[in-house]
Amino acid sequence: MTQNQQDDTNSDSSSGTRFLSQLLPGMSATVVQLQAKGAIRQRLLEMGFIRGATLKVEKLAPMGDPMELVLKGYHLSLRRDEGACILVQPVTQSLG
Amino acid sequence: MPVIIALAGNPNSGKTTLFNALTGSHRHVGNWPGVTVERRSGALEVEGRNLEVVDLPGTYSLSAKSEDERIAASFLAESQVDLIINVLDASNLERNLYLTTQLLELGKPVVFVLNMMDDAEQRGIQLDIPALETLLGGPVVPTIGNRAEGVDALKTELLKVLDGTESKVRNFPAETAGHGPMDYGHDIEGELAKVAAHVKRDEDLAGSIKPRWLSLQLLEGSAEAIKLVEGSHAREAIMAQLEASRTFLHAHLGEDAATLLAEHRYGFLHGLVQEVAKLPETPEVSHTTKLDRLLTHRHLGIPIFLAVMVAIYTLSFVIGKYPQNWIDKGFKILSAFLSAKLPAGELTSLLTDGIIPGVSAVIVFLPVIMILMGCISFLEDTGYMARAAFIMDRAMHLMGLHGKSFIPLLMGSGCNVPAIQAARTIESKQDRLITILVTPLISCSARLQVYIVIAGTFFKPFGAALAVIAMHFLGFGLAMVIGRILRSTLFSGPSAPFVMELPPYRMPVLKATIIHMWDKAKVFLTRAGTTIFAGATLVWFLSRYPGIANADWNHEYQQQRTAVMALQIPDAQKDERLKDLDLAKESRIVNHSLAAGLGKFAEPVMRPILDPDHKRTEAWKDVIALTAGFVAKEIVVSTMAVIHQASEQPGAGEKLSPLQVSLRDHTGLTPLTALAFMIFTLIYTPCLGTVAMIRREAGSWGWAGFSVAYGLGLGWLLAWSTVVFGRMMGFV
Repeated sequence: MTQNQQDDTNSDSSSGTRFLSQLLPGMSATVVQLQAKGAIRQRLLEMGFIRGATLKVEKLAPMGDPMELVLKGYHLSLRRDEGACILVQPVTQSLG
Repeated sequence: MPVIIALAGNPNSGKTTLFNALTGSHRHVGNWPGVTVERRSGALEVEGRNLEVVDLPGTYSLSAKSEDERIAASFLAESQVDLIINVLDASNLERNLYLTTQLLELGKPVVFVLNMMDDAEQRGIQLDIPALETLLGGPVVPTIGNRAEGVDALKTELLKVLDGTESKVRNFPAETAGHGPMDYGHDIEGELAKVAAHVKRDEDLAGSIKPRWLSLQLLEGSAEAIKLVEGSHAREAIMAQLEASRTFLHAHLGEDAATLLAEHRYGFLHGLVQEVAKLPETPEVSHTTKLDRLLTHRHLGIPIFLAVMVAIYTLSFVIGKYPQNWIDKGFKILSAFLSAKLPAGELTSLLTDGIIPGVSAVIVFLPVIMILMGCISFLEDTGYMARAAFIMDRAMHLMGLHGKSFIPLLMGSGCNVPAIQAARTIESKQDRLITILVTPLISCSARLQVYIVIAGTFFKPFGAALAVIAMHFLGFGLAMVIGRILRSTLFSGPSAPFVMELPPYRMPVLKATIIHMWDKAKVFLTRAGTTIFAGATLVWFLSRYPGIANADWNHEYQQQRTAVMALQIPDAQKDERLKDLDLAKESRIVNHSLAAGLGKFAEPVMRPILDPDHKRTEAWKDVIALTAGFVAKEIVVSTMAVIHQASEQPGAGEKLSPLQVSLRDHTGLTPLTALAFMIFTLIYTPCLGTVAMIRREAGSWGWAGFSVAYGLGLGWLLAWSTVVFGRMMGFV
C-alpha cells in the first residue's frame, strides 16, 4: 500500500505534498488535508491534526510501525496506515 | 441531595491522582451502567458541607465517538451535575484545552485545575494565571497532584463557586443573544443559531439539553445527538435544517462541519496559549525524550520491554506463589482440623469439601491479582504502558489485536483471571473484547499441572517435555488464529484508531498504586468471587450426591474403621490403612455421584476423543475429572486421584505416582488419546474464575457463555482431529 502511494506522490512532485506515512524520522511537515473518514477523522481532528498544524516524526517503533510524532508540544503514536490518510507538506529546512 | 461535582479532563492529566487527593476513604468503585468502564465516586467534605465527586473517564473530547466519551458527555449534560472541575495538564495546555471548549458549552460552572505545574516549570513554561482566568471565564487553581499541592485552594474555590461568591465566573450572554463561550465565526454561528431555533421548538428537548450544545453536536455528526433528536416531534424540521446547514457550510467554507469546528477551536486555543503561556526560547530536551531514546530504541526497546515483562511475571507468579501457597495450606489445615473435630456427615462435608475449598478458590487469586494489578497500575502511571503498546503494536496488530493486548496475553500464561482483568487498560471496546475472549486459550500454570501428570505417564521424559511445550505454543497459536477470526467476523467494524498519546514519564504516587490494587481486589472479591464460590459449591454438590447421604455406605465405612482400629499393628500401618479407607469411601461416592451420571451421559460425545476404539469401560471417569476441572483446571488431577483411588504422590524411590501407574495400566488411555486429553484440557472451557472474570470484564453473561461454548467446540474439534490424524499416521 505504502509503495503505491510512494509512486503517486513521486509523479506529483511539483506540489511536494506526500502522506505522513512516507516521512522519515526527523522530518517535519505541516498538515494539508485529512483523508480519513468517520471515527478516525474525528479523533485525528481533536488530537490536533488540523490544516496548517506542524508536526515532526520523532521515530519509528522497533518493528517499523507505528510511528511517534510530536504535535502541539506533545508526543503521540500513529499506525502507518493511519498516517497514510494524512496529506502533509514537508518543511524543507529540517531535511538537511 | 448532595452537590455533585464532575471531574473531567484528558487521559494522563492526573485526574485520578487529584480525585484520590480530594476524596477520602468514602469511595465507591464500580462500573458505569451497562458498560465496563470504571466509575469512581467519592465523598468530599468541605467546611461541613457534603459534596460528591465523580471521576469521569479521561477523554480528549465530548464528541461521543468512543464509549468513554459517550459516558462523559451524557453524564455532564445531565442536570444533576452542579459543577465541573476541568483538570488540565499545564505542560500540554493547548491540546488539553480542546475538551474545555466543549465543556464551556454545557453552561455549568467550571473550575479549572492546572495540574502538573512542576512539570511545566521544569520545561520552562511560564503561565499567566490571571489572564487564563479572564479568557476561560472561571477560576484557575494551580496544583501538583502528586504532592496534593493546591488541593486546599481548590476546595475553597469550589465552595466559592457553589455559593455564587466567586467573581471570576463569567456569565456568558443569555442563550437568546446567540453566542456561546466560543465564537465560531459568522457563518457557523449563523447556522448553529438556525439549528438551535428548531431545537427550541421542542420544549422538552430544549429543557433536557442546551439547544446550542445539542446543535454543535449535531453539526459534528454525533450519533448520540441524533438519537436524542429522533425522539422529538420537531425531528424532521431539525434534521432538515441540519442537512441544509451542513451543505451550506461545506459549500461556503470548503470543509465539513466537524473539521471547521475543530479548526476554529484550535485556532482560538493557539491564540489563547500564546497569550497566557511563555515558552522557553530554546526548549531543553526533556527527560522524557532522553528516556525514550533508550526505552523505545530501535534495538534496545524490545529487550528492555521483555525484561520488564519478565520482572512483572516473576513478581506476580513466582513471588506471588508464596502467599498463594500459604493461603492454600491455611485453608487445608482449617479443613482438616474441622473434619477431624466435627462429626462426619453431609454438613461437615459441605463445610470442609464445599465451602472452605470454595472460599479458598476465591482468596487464592488475591495475591497474584493484587501484585499484577499493582505492577500494571505502576506502569500506566509512569507512562511506560503507552510505550509498551507502541513497541508491541506491530506484532499484535497482525493478530487482529492492539499493542496493549500483549500484557494480558503474556500474563495469561501465569493465570488467566488477572490477565483478563488487565485487559481493562485497552481503551477500544472491540480490541478489549477480542483480547478477553482469546486470553483463555493461553495455557496457564494450573493446566501445566495436568499436562505434567498426563505427559509424564504416557511419554518418555523428552517426549513429555516436548508435549508440554507444544501445549503452550498451541495455546498462543490458537489465540492468534481466533483473534484474527473474531476480528474479521464478530468484530469486523472499522478498528479503533491507534492514535495514542505517549505521555511524559512521571514518578507514580505509591498511594495511588496501593489504592488501585485494593480497588481491584475488592471488585474481584465482590463481583467475581461470588460466582466462583457458587460454582465451586455446585460442583461439590454434583460430585458428592447422592452417595454422601447413603446411610448404608456410611455405616459400612464406620465398621471398617472400627475394624482397622482394633487391629494389633503399628500406628503407621494403621494410618496407612485408614487413609486407604477414606480414599475408597470418597472414590465410591464420586463414582456414583450426579457428576458420574453426567460423565456417563456425556461419554458418547467424548468417545471419539477418549475412546476411539470403544474398548474402554471407564472413559466416563475422565469426563468427571474434566467436569470437576471446571472449578480450576488443576482439580482435574486431584479428582482423577479420587476416582481411580490412587494417590498423586509418588512413593519413595518411585518415578511414577500410583495415580500415574493406574492411568497407564488400568484406564486404557493410550499416548494418542492422552495427548488428545491434554489438548482438550487446554481449550475445553475457561475455568470458573476466568468465566466469572469474563462476565465481569466483558459486561455480560453472553460473552462468558460464548467463551465456554466456543472453548468446548474448539477443544473437541482439535482433540478429535489429533486422534484421527494421529491414527492415520499410525500412532495409537
